[in-house]
Amino acid sequence: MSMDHADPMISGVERSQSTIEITFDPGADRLIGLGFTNGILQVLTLGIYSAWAKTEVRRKLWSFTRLNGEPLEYTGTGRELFIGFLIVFAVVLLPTFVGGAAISILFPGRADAVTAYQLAVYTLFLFLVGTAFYRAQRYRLSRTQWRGIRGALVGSAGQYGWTYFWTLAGPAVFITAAALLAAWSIGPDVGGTILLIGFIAALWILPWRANKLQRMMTDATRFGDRPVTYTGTPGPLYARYLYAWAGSAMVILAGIAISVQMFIASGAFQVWTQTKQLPSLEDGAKLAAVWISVLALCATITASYRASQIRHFARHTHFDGASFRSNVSGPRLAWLILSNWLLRIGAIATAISAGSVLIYVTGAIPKAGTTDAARIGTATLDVIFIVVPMVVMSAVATAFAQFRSTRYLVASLSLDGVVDIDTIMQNQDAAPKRGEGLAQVFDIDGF
Amino acid sequence: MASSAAGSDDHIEYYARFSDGKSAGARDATVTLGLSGLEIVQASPHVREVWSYANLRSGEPLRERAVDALLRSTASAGASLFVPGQPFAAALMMRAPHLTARAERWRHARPWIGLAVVIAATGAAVYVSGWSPARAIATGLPDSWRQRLGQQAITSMTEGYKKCVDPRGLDALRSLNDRLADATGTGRPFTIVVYDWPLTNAFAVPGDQIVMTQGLLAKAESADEVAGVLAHEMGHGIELHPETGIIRAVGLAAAVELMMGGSSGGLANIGLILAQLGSTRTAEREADLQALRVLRQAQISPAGLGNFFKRMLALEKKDDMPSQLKQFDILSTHPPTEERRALVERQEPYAATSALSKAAWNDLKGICAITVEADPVRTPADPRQPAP
Repeated sequence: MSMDHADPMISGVERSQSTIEITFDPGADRLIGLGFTNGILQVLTLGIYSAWAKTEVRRKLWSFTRLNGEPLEYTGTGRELFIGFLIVFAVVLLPTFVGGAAISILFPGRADAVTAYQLAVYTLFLFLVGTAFYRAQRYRLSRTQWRGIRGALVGSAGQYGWTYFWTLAGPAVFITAAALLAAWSIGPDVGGTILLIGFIAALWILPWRANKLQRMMTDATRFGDRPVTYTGTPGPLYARYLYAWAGSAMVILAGIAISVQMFIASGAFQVWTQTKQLPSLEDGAKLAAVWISVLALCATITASYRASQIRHFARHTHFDGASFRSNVSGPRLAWLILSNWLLRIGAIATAISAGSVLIYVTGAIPKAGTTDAARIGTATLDVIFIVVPMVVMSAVATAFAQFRSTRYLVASLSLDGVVDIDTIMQNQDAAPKRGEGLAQVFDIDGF
Repeated sequence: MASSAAGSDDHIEYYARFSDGKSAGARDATVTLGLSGLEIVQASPHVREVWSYANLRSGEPLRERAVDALLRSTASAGASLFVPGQPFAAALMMRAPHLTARAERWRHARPWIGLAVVIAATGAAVYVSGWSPARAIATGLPDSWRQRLGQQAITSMTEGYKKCVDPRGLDALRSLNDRLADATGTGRPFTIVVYDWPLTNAFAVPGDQIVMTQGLLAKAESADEVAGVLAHEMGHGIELHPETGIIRAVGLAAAVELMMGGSSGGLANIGLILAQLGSTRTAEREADLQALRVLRQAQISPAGLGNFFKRMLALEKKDDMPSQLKQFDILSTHPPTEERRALVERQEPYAATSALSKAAWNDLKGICAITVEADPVRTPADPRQPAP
């Protein structure tokens, strides 16, 4: 018998007080093949497979994430996700739809009734979005294991949803009421100004709000029976937020100034004011280039704030005797977000091109003078030629983009200090039985 | 990684870490590939156990390139065994082939392929049988619901146009309506409203309600033509096409939403349009057949309807639509006009009288001499009476 303890991270008897190294498997599969299989099965099952596809991607991403060399395990199932979605469909989506139809039937032509109903639905949905975030996190933590010990999220999803709701709706209602009062007592111009300035000023609540929600979520998080704690305050976020807020505003104002200057210089502005004739293609392309640059710059500046927020949250998150640390950087995060979008757009563009070539090569174009059945058949074939590659390529791009994001975020994360691993016992809280249906409905489940 | 090899893999001891699933601590262990299962020996305390191959489950399917294996046994709840190193994973693939990626893939895909076959077979069966769930639901809708749905449709479609209410025109319209409605043989009253709208159009909405435009009256060359168009719209009403169309659209949208996990987008809409297309064209054919039956019963000549189709055909020919686009006739909601005209001409001749007297026809053409703002919420008390 021979034993080779070449890897110090894995071998040997782990001391009770131990460091934990977080790594992302460097030889991990890029999930291209899995994305392809998922896409094909989604097409064959008319999309029903999507819950199972999501689960398969999670299983892979979790297994690539290693703590002291041992993989995390994702134990959720597609069935749980699907049933969760069906329940939310029946309890939230269907009644919302039926309610809307009933309002239309009971009050035909009454725009005020429809508006009141829509306002009520949007209010409810704003509350539900926060609740959905919390429930999705609870489900994922309960299905995440390391060495058989699972995570948990205790606390109330409703309370989180309410905080999520009032920290947005509260300022909005207050500013709208103040603006209406000013408009009624002083004049509409003053009301409008208060509304505009009020909403711009209200953006300053966001770092405070993000910190508050992060505290609620983190303090309720458990690994096994051990709590995770958060000690961050919003103060340090504001310096970076000022930079992002003022930087974005300056870039947008610069974009407006350049666009106006460009149009006045080329004479297109005068032409438009006199004849309402649209600018030439060349002027339009220049304008598009300016605004794509503006958007890219804003994305970079905003990503810089988001990166600092991730670092702040990590730095103030503690587990046992250790604290997390993230070295996510603004430019790299901006590039990750931008390149993932380009990846998705490129995949869909490739699929449409491939489908168009297929239609051209096979000559599958509905022709006049043929029977109805023949024309419907040909048109169906055309849809298949375009839709199937789009679904498949989209599944491939999504899986690969999720892989890239996870790899970057996990590789940037570390845990400084020691953890008494042996004393962490299994979590005894009841795990949710179903998946994150709400998060699926609101399309906010990142993975 | 930590692994060892000495002779045949029966006797190789691999380094492993054993977790009992009760605490996050892991104990060093050695594992051997035995005849019937994995033989695991924990170092401290010294515990030996065997996990049979059949009971093994793997965190990730085993592949040739796998650098480690995370295993569980269905017989040891909560416990897990992590074995680093490629040689163990490769050797285990031979002993427990059900853990390989290929086996896992097939096991995973099998029920889905079955589901795909069931979906295809169900779709084919529904298509072949011609059964329409939407039609079945539409048949069961209470009359009051159908009326309100129709009112809602009229309100949204005629917004900004006034209702035509010249009394003599209304009398003429009532007379034509009564003659045609009696001929339907359904005993159901129809409501016809004319709007001061230059577009040449008439359409049926739920609740046996028909909207006709002043533009259509202006273009029509005889009362028989208008009777033909109204009989066609009544045909839609008899067959419950407006109600069925709404239910089908809602049902398809809900089904797509359900299938796409709540994130259906533009792509799905292409499928929706295509799915409804065939039904719409079939509905038009059914309405044409009903129109011919109603006209025969009312003893009004179908020549008016034929003439109307003939002039539509002439308009289509004059149309300057590029010929490439005309190829996409599939996107039309109506059957080809030529086909519809031919259907009318194939009818056996029968004794007929004019749909309206000359004077009444003139009165009908002048129905928009007096107009009023449409009342969106009002449902006529007597649906047989054209709304004032």
